Amino acid sequence: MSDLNSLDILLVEDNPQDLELALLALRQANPHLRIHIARDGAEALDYIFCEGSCAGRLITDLPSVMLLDLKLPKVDGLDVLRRIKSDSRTAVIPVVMLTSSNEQRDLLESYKLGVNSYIVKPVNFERYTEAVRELGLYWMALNQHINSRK
Amino acid sequence: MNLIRPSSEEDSRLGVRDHALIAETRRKNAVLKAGALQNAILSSPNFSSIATDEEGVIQIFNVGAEAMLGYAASDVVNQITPAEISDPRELIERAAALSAEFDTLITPGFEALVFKASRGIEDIYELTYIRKDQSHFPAIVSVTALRDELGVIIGYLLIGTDNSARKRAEEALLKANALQSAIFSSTQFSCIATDDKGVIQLFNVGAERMLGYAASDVVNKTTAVSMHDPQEVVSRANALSVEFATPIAPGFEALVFKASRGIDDIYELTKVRKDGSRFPAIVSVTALHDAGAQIIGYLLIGTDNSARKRAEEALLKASTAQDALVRQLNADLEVRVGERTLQLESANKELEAFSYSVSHDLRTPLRAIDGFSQVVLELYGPQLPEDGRRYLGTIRAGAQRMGALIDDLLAFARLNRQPIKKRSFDTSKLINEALEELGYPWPDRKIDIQIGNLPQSVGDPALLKQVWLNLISNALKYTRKREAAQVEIGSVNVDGTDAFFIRDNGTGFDMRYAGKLFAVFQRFHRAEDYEGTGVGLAIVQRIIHRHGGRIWADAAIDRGATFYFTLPEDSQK
Repeated sequence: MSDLNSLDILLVEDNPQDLELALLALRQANPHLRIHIARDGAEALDYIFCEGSCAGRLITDLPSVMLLDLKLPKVDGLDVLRRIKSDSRTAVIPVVMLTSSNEQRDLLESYKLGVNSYIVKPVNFERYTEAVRELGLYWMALNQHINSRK
Repeated sequence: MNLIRPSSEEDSRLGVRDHALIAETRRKNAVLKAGALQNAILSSPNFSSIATDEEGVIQIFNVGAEAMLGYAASDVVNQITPAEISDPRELIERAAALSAEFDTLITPGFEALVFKASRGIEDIYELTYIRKDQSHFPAIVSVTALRDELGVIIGYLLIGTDNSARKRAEEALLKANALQSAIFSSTQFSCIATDDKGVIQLFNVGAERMLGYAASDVVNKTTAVSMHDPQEVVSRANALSVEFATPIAPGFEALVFKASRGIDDIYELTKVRKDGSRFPAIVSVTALHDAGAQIIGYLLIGTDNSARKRAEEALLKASTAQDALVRQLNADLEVRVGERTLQLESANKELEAFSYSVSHDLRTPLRAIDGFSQVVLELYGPQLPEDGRRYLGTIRAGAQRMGALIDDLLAFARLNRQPIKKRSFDTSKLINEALEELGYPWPDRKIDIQIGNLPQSVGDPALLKQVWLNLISNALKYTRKREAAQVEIGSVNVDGTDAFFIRDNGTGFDMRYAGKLFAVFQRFHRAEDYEGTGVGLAIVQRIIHRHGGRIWADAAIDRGATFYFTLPEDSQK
């Protein structure tokens, strides 16, 4: 397994408090992660597809994992997911959906669109940290593993 | 033939002795004939022949008397008089009447029966005889005195016939007459008798009242057909012509044709009054026959059918109005159901949007409260006084509890939207799964769990698993303070339905508050004793109710609790 320190992670979160808590949780899990932040669905798509403010980026430079909040301004989390999973260049990005709710229909819709994991953000911060760490790191590690075998 | 043809010559040849012989033969023949008659009478079962001595004591009691009166001859001969088998009241009346008639005292006994005969008066009278079994029957009795050669009365012969049949016939006739006269004098029936041509012969008060004619206007002057709707008479004639395949004139013949053929005929038709107004009538027609079975006329009995017709029409109108009303109500109902459905759908959508928003947006600030409290504790904990750290802990606990309440409340609200997918499944298997999910066999506790034979369940397995999870975890929770917890799961028959139950020996509750047991957020215990949100049993009840079942509990403080529920197999929901 290659060096986890070189991993890129895209965190899409509009709520500043959740964002900060997510950052804390991720940093706690691995202080050396390179974390890119998008504050809504449009920014997330710009980053992935190298458009707008991210025009200089290479589309082949895929993040190791994407943590995507479900409810986002402008472009909704599910729409972002749909765009990414329906484009062959980006479909391989592991997407972990973060959501406040355990609504069945959100969950089902996410899985239909090809989400890789789904985290219902718990109120309890330790459990939140735990969930983010476990899932985020799992997908980061898996992705790294896949990349290293290419 | 060996007839004697008497000639003057032969006559002249007969002697006096021969004349005497002939007279003797004639006398003998007469006696023989009388004897034959006597025999016939005495042996007839249709006549009771009772001969008595001069005192009345019965000497002969023939078969007819035996048959009619029920006594054997040996019961009565030389024993009693006919007075003893006669109605005593009638004897008294008869004695009194005879005493008055003959101005002499006649005793109300045998003497009353034979007094006239004893005076040589022919006597035939009606009398009530009493049978051996004490039943009565009317008889007609003819009494004759029996005399010796000297004309001295030596006894009496009472010949009786049973008069019951005639009595009955008389009574029937009387009744028939009464009925007939009642009908004829009734104002409710129009009785019109005609001759065979239809000319009215009799026109009763009912006919006068109904039709507006006086009898004198019509009797021998007009035919009954003039009081009918001509169009109807034509239609009737046509219909009868077809039915009997013979031309029937659209006149009186049309009214009585069936009756003339001996067919009972009752029909509805419109009668026309003298003033030209009309009314519906029901008419019964009978042919009147003479002794030779020749039709001599017809009797038409009619009743005014207006009231019934009106009632029928009113009924028809009412039912038509009712139909219209029902249709209108149905239409209204459909519109209202449609409106309600829309309202309900929109309310449901609003509720869904509401709970969706609650589940997302209410939890976000809670995460911030809990998260940043934890961050403070982690980063600055060492700099905080003990109380400060404890307060932050309390803040976190509050936030987490609110999170749990929101989750449970949403789960509860979701139950109403979730469709129920029923099937039959193995209850024991489902309970075992629930037990495993709850951490069976709980190595750090001493729990004796007994599961009896359970029937299959019919319902939504996922929802019913939630029921068992909640009920079992309750049982585990409330037995926590027991040294040895006991939990029993089984089924009992309650009013013909299988009810599942789960019984524990836990802390129980006061049945006075049982009514609140299944309400949302109702808790019977302090939070520091038993944790919980107060939604678990509300969820259980809602699931059972949505299945069409019942749930109830039986408990006492410190003596455990038993929860029962039923799942009706046939409920389709």
